[in-house]
Amino acid sequence: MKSGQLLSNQNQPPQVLVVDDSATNRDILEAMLMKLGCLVQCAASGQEAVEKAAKNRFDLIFMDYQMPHMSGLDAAREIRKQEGPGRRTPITALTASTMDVIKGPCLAAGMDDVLTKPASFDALSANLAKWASPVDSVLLANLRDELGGPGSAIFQEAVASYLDESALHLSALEKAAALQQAESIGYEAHILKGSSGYFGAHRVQNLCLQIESLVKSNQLAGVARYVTELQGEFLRVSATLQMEASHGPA
Amino acid sequence: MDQPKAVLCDDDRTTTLILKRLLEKAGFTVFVGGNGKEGLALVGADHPRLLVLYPDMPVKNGIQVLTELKQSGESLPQILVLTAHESPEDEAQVKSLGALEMVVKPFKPSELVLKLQGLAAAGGGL
Repeated sequence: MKSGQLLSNQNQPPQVLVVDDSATNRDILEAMLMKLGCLVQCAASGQEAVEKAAKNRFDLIFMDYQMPHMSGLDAAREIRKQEGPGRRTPITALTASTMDVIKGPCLAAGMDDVLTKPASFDALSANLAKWASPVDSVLLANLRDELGGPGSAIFQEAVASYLDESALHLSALEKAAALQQAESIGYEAHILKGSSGYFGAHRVQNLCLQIESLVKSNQLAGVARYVTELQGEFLRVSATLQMEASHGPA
Repeated sequence: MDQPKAVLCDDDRTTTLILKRLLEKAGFTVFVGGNGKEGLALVGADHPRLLVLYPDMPVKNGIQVLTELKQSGESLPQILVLTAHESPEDEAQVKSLGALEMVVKPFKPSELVLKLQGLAAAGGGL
């Protein structure tokens, strides 16, 4: 992995939950994630995952898609149900099935990403970089290189502009949500989603996507909760990007 | 020799800032419009070699901009359309209105600048 492996929690290792009914799979994933510097807990069923997610604050959950009794989809739905506003733990599904078929149902159930089983060390590492911190450290390092490398004035300017603009859009979004103005809600979420893509703020993008789909299905009452989540997430993105722009890569 | 001109027309300021700085570095003079109306005015006033356009904008959207440019009968700049998602139908539509390329956001900045340099070179002077 490139610089600044996990920018979010600075010196704290990411806390990861591995959910799989196969002990062998759990052991392999746990070993690889520990090697990547994670603190790992395991759950052998969907039910156990839901319980552990209620008691702990994980940075990322790797969830087997197909499990007896409670599937990965059902467990993800339950986890989303029990999470309060301002909280959305990223969930990556692990599946042996064809990605194209599985991805839609996984996202609809509240998961964020899908990896094919068996997941390689590199795939896990990239997924961790993508989700366990507010910004994707690999993507951010690439952008910085593209814009002139560490200390690049263009990179610093782009970060500052993104943070200023996003704060305005977020505030407009909050107002539009309070007034239930569908068109404005959709517009602000769309623009925030787009610019967040450059900096690898995947969680912000996902929350915006959820808001856009709520607008499309005319469920405006559900928007406020996501706006609260978005505000919390944006604060984390902002702290990470400011650190990255001022100090450069770790 | 005059620097080639480019007009960027997008309401996402992060996109226009990144592109503006990189195109300036590549030798372009860059003008930015935050909606379709501003973009059209800039194209009319500055006769750029390049136009980068995002379809989904307030006041006047990108499709209206392309339509008006085509109807004007003036020689068109080299046009690249940015989009939030891949869609063959949208691509066919913008190309029928005079766009040469469509690129999905978030783009890789260096690749897009190379592509734009290529378009500008192919278009020659206006």
